Order: sequence, then structure tokens, then C-alpha cells
Amino acid sequence: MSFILRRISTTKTGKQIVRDQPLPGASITLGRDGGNTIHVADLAVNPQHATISSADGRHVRVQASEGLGFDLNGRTLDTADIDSAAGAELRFGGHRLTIAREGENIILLVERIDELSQSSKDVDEARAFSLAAVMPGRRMGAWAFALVVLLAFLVGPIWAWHSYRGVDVRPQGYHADKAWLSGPLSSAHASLKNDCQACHVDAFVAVTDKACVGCHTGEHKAMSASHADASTAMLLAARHPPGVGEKVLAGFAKAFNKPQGRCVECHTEHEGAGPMPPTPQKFCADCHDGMAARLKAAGFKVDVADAGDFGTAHPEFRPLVRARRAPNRRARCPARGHWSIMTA
Amino acid sequence: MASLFPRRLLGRRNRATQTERVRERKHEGFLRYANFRWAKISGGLCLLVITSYALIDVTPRANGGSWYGYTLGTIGAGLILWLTALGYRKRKMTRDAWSLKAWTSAHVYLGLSLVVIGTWHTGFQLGWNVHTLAWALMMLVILSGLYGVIVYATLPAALSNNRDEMTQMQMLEAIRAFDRQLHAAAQPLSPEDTAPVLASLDEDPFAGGIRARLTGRYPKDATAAALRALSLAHGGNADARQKVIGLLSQKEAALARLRAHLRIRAMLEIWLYVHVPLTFALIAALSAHIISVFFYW
Repeated sequence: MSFILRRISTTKTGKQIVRDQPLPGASITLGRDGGNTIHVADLAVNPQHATISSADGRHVRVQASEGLGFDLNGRTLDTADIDSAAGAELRFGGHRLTIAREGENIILLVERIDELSQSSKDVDEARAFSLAAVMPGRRMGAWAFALVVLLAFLVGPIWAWHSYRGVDVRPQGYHADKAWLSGPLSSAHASLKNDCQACHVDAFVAVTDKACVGCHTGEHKAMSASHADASTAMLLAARHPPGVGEKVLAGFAKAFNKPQGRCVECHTEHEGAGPMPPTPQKFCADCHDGMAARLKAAGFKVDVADAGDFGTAHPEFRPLVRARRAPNRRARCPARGHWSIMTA
Repeated sequence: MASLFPRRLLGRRNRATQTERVRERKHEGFLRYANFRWAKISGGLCLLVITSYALIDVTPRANGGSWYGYTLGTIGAGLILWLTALGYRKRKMTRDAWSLKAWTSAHVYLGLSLVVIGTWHTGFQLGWNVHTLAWALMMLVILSGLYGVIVYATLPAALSNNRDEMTQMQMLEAIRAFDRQLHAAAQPLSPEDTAPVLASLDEDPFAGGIRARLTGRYPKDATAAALRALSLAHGGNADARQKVIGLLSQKEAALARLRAHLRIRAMLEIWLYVHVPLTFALIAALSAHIISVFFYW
């Protein structure tokens, strides 16, 4: 029996050339040092790494000499007894030693299986040099972010609205549709800040007067009999002709189903904490300046004179005779139909 | 061919190609495209928004729900969708009037004008809600884009200086060559001396996370460690060790060049990892913003 060292080299065309070299003696050495029987030029192999011997010409004993050991079947060992007929694969650093038997001989095949260095490995140039190699994909990030935002700010609020449909008062706590709050509520409505549905009852339906009159009963009546009696159609006809901006807004309103003449058009909400913005004097004049002609044109009976400004364009106050009871001396504003105490 | 296309159309096309050639010769980038055409259009748009906002008295106070707010909001949302379309458009290159360069130029300048359109749409009412989230995401996308424009304008010169007429693969090839020489030169070394060399060989030149890529700092660099270890070592084959030390310092220089290259490339690319995902988050927030307005109408 003898050990035969087999080396396989591959030509440029891919053809393999096998060279066998008989090794003398029953014990041979393996290592990085040039003096070894099997010289393995591998930095991961010690200068005198192992001794390979066979007492009976069939069983092979591999003994590591400098403590680094070798790998066999996934384990790192210092000593191993191998039946060459069964064969084995041992690993020394980046090399593989295959032990096999052919006839009377024990064949030792040594091959480099690892790249010489990490940098020698093939790289995909487009990926390796780019940030893509160390970052999660942009596409995945895009979908993940979009999904999170949609869940938190669209699905969540709609779910909150859906869960409390038909519920009079929502329980305390956070409701997801709070994220839709476009601005703080006025101090009068501050208690409703957790209950969007108190006013926004139905989805995609603009806040109706019904939501207001649930709490507010007779506000306009206390202020003015004329406004309380006036129909919505009459109030709409009384308003001043729209400017360019208002035509745009009316266009949006019409296109997206927002009826005109609702309470919230003058009594605007979500304009900031504090008292609700007052409906300014200009709002009176908005209708009463040149209103008579507009009402007449719309086919309403006109019994008030035009008023453009309290100071400069207001009809004279005149006494009002009431048939039933007049507890104070009062004069009636012919434009607004409200009562004012005469100071003179 | 002439019978297939009207002469007038072909003439216009030729003229467009000619203008494009002149631009190519002068190397006109997307920033100065057509003598800053889109910068002027965008600047004019911003000026129009700012003056009209000052002149138009929206009662009781300016906000996104006024007619002026709706107008700006509609323009802004349309613009955001159009700007996003660059991602699709850039995959289809053409050379005529709406060349990719023209499109990119418009993308950059109209994108910047969104700062004014979007912010003035809010009427300066911001809060902790989905509406302000959409605005904040929009601003982050614009800021990341602005960073992108700045690095595209400044960093390629640094990239070119660092490359020193080498390609990326040549940089890697240099390291591979030093590795092969190191492997051969380190053969006579003792096991204690080969361990750090082996660690240097086993180190992936592309290793290191996003932090290392952006800072260019690699504190656990095995080649530098090997250099330190071998410089302090005594005994054994001193000549071989000196040779290995020389090779290690050369490899270290080659690695430094590659890492500088990776760092500049990372800085050129990082903004897209903010710009693109946040754009999609923005579109989601924008949808929620618009739907919420109509849902609670």
C-alpha cells in the first residue's frame, strides 16, 4: 500500500488534468511549510498542521499537531480514524482533503475550495457599489409607509365613525377620527371635540341644520321674528350677488353636494379655540344692501327697506304701533325687524 | 417618409433636435435648462400665490376650506401627482421638446414651488392632524429633493477626483491583487502573525452598514488592525513580515479609496431612500386628507 497524492488542475477550456504522485512511507505530514509532504499554500493552515498515517493500509489516522484541528462532517476534530474504503472529506482552512481508496492505494485529493480572500468573490457591480446593498428596498419602504398612513389616518377614522353610528354620546377616550380635526373647536363646542359625529352625522353629507337645532332652539327667533319666519329660499334670495371667489366656492359646493343656506355657512366652526367668530356687521349688509330688489326679483313680498351700513346707509327709525302690548317705548328697525330701545 | 408626416411637423422636430444638440455641446444641465425656463415659471407662480393671498380677503380667516384654499389645494394635489409621475417618466427617455431633462427641470422647480402653494393653502393653520401630516410629509419630500439637487450639483466632482481615472471594478481589482500578493508573502510567517493577515483577507471590502457607508468610518477594519499587530510583532521571519506590512499599507490605501468612493455614492443615493418612500406616504396622507374633508363635509 501507498499514499497517492492526487492533484486536479483545470485548463482554460475547462478540461481537467489529473496528476497522481505516490508518496513514500506510511506516515506523511501536511502543512503550510514547504518541508511537508503535502504542502498546502493556505494561510489558514499551520506550518505543520497534521500527520496522516496508516498502520494497516486501509484505516487512516489523521492527527492535528498544532491545535488548529480540521473539520470532518461539520465537527472540528484533532484526531480522526477513517476507513479509506468508506472515504471521507476533511477540511483544512480553505482546502479540502478527500480520502478515498482505489485498489490497494489510498488516494489523497487536495483542492482549494474557498476563495483566496473575500474580495476575490464575484460581485454584482450594480448592487455592491450602491446603497441598495445595505438598505431595505425603496419600493418596500414606499408601500410600508403608505400602508401605515392609510391604516392610521383613513381606515382608523372611518372605523371610529362606523363603530359609533347611531350612538348618542361617544364614550371618553381617543377616537381615531380625531386625527381629522381640521382646527380647534370654538369654546362653546369644546366639549364636542371627541365626538365628531355630534355634527358630522352621515358620511359625505355636509353638516345639516338638524345637527344644530338638536341643541340650539329658537336662537334666531329670539333675535328676530323676520329671520325666524323667513324660508331658506327667501334667505338665499336675499344674499348679495356672489363675487368671483364665491362663485368658485359655490362651484365646489355644487360639485360636491354641499347645500347652500345652512346654519354653518355663517356660523363657521374649526376656526380656532376661543369664542366662535362673530358674524360681522358686514354680514347684515351682505343681504340688506340692495336686498329689496333681489327679493322682488325672486318673487317674495318686500316689506323692508335696504340698509347698507348702520351709520351711513340705514333708513330712519320710525315708531311702530303694536295692537296687542308694548311694555317699553321701542322703535322698530325697518330693515332688520329687530327691537331697539329708543334713547331719545 | 415626407409624405407620411406633414412637412411642418418634421421641420419643428428638426429644429428641436438642433436646439438639443447645441445644449448638449454646452452641457446644459437640468438646473439651467432652457435658460432657467422652469425656475422663472415656478418663481412667477409663487409670486402670484403670495400676492393674491395678500390681496384676497377670505372671511372669517384664511384656511384651506375657503374658495382660495380649495383652488390652491387642487393645484397642489395635481402638482404632487404630476411630480410623482417622474418616477414613471424617467424610465422612458426621449430627446424632443419634453425631453427627460426638460421634465426633470420642471420637476425640480415646480416641486420647490409647492413649498409656497402647499403652505399658503394651509392658511398657516397647522395642528396635530392628518392635514398637517400631509403638509409635513410634503415638506420632507421637498427638503430631501433639495438635498438631492445640491449633492448632484456638487458631489460628482469629488467622486471623479477620488476615482483618479479608475473604474469601480478597477478599484476592487487593486484590492484583489494586494490580497493575492499578501497571501503569497505571508506564507513564511508564524501562525501568530498570519492570523491578522488572514483576518484582513477574510474581510469583505463592502462590509459595513449604512452608518459606515455614510461616514466612511470603519473602526473594526481588519487590515488596519493587521497593520498595527504586525508592526508590534517580534521574532519569526522579520523580512517576510516587513514585506507583508508594506503590502498591508498599500491595501489599506486601496481600501480607503474604495471606501471614499462608496461614501460619496452613498451620499448621492441616500436622499432617494427618503424622497421616494415619503412620496408614497405623502400620497396616502393626501388621500386621507382629501377623503376626510369630504367624509366629514
